[in-house]
Amino acid sequence: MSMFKRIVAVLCCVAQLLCLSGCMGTTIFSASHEIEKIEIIRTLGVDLSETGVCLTADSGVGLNGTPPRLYRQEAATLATAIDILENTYPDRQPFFTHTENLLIGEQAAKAGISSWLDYIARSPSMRLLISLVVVRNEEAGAVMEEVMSEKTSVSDMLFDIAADVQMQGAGSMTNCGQASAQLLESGCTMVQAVAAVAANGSAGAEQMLVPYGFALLKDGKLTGYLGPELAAEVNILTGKFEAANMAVKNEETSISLHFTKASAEFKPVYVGNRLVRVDVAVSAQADVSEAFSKSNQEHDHLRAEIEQAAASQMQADMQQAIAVTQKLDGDYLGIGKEVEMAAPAAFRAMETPWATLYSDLEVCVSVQVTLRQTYDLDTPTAEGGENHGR
Amino acid sequence: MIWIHQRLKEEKIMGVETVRRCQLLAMAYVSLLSPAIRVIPRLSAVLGGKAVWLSPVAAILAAAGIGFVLDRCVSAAGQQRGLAELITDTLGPIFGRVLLGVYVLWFVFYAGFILRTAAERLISAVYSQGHLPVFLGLMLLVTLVAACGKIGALGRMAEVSVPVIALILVAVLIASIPSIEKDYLFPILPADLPQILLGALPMADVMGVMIPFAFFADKRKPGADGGSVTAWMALTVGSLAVLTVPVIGCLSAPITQSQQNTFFVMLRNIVLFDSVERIEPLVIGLWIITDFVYTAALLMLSGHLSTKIVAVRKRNVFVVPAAVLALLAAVFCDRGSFDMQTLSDFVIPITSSTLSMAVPVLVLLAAALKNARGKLRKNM
Repeated sequence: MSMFKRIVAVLCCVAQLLCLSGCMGTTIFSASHEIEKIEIIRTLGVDLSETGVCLTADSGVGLNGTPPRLYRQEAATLATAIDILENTYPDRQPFFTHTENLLIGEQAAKAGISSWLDYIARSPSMRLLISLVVVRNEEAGAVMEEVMSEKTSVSDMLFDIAADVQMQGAGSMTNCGQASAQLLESGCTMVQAVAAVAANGSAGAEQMLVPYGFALLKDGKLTGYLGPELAAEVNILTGKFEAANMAVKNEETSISLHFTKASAEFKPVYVGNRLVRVDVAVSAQADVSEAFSKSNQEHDHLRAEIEQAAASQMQADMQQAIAVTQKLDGDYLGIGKEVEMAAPAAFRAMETPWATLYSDLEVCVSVQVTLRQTYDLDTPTAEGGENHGR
Repeated sequence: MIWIHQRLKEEKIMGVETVRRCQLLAMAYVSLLSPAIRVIPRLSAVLGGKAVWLSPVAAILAAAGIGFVLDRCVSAAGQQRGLAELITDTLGPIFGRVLLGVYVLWFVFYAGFILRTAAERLISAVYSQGHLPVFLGLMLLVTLVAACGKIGALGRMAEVSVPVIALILVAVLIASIPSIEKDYLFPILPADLPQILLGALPMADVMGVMIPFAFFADKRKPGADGGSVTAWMALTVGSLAVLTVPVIGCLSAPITQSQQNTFFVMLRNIVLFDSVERIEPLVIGLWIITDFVYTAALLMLSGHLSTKIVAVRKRNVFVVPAAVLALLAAVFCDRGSFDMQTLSDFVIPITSSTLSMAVPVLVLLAAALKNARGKLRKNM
């Protein structure tokens, strides 16, 4: 290689380095951001507005304790609103690549969320990992404002909810990818619902966000809810159960149980190519977490009675959850998937498609609850007694 | 470095443009990854549905066939001869040159199409505010420099890129495992076999782009030189499996069917140890190498074949006009009655399969028949 060629090659390499520095606007990346000038947006709230969409963006509390910020923008579409926000604050530019939550107001959810899910899937800055949450009875933007203070915001509350909701048996988070896949496959999905409540239960107190059951979406539109009282049972049916507490009452005493293990097994019953029934066998294990009063009954009898009472309660809740979804004519719980997994060949050979069959199908739930560590079952610790160490 | 230096020295001493068989296969492997990222696994999922994650197993059969044809095309013509010589010998100088002319036109158009899709991918996946003409112009300029250089240099670049790409693919596979949902992959029944085979069709089509690299066989160095076709085909099928299984497992077949560049969409959703995320720009950036190698190789091929059609020895006389035509193709390829989707899903795969696989197979058969007849006449 001649000296001239070498010099030209070296100069070309040096010229490329100039493009990579980012100094004085020489970067080739047209959407580059200086890190100190960006505000990472953690939660997007979406509501309907006269122009189309009202977007509320929350930054959450900063790592160094800086108070959260809310940004609001109305536009014809979600993409336009985000685009406007990105270009409105040059000194503190909202940055959406690490967004964690998409909070949808109830009215917006009723109108349909498919186009927003499509945007999340297509946009290079968004991710399908974003948790999808519906606000019950309110607008997302209003709730985001209500719960925000100097020290906390909707993003921090949703972060806590996501971390604990399954352990509390209060629901489970669904991300945009899962919701999109279910909507594309079966037309139905179920996402976490939340509500804003007063922190200490009194009016005028600080508001906080709590899990509030599940929002049911069919063809992208909100069709109903499964209440928070059914959340633990729904988690069992959907295979997302981690833990839950349940208060069980019989004629004589009340006991609080902590469920640590529960699973559901789906057994389809076919006659020829016709699915006539689905049997759901649920088995659960629980520990006594709180015994309210001393019982005079025999230990084994009381134990069986508590197990039976808990099983009946769970069975009733599960039947109710299934009945609600059947009434809304959609397999929101994903029972069809479980039935297919149980006997794939028979499922595909069915005369009537699952979607048509589901609303009138007989689904029989049987629950078996086993109590562990029952030595403190019939005598609460504070009352002492002869049953300890049994 | 020492190894590369020795190779460079060897080539300089020999004074002729050569490419090792291993480099040729490395170029073919790196090149096929460029169209692969466009159609796999989306087009496979459209054809095969959920069962498509098993299609790479079915693609082994196609890989064996393509490997055999590639091997035959490289070695059938003999030393200092390539697929072009095989075509002209078999079809005669006139028909042979006409067919080579068709290949030249196809390579120029395909180079433009690859440029266009690569630029669009960069804009849609990373540089959302980027301008298409700028990307097209810059990419063409860089590839033109490579296309005007030696085949061996491009081969060396491909050779160096292979371990980097393989390493990234393995890393992506491992990182995606926690995000894979079994519901998206199962159940699969024997009745899904037709879907699995259908899903393997785009994979076979993509692997077919390796065969035209046999046109460079007249420039290859003698000896096997580490170029086991079986090993390269195994690597190819493995790579296609990595492009397919994690995507279907993480995104589901319905989402895969409805999105573009689904491998990168899947990468966007990978989070490692709750701290490492948004790794897709690195992989998208790396994939530019595949576009670069393939576009440069196509321009080089068009120039190389042009020298066989007309009596001009300098390849670069044809490469520069080919690059200009490729740029025009890139700009205007979605202006006609076909949009990019139709081009990508129907026109390109069908034309590519015909010219890359069907025609070389027919030429090989015709050559074999001709040889058999010749032997028969001799014996008589």
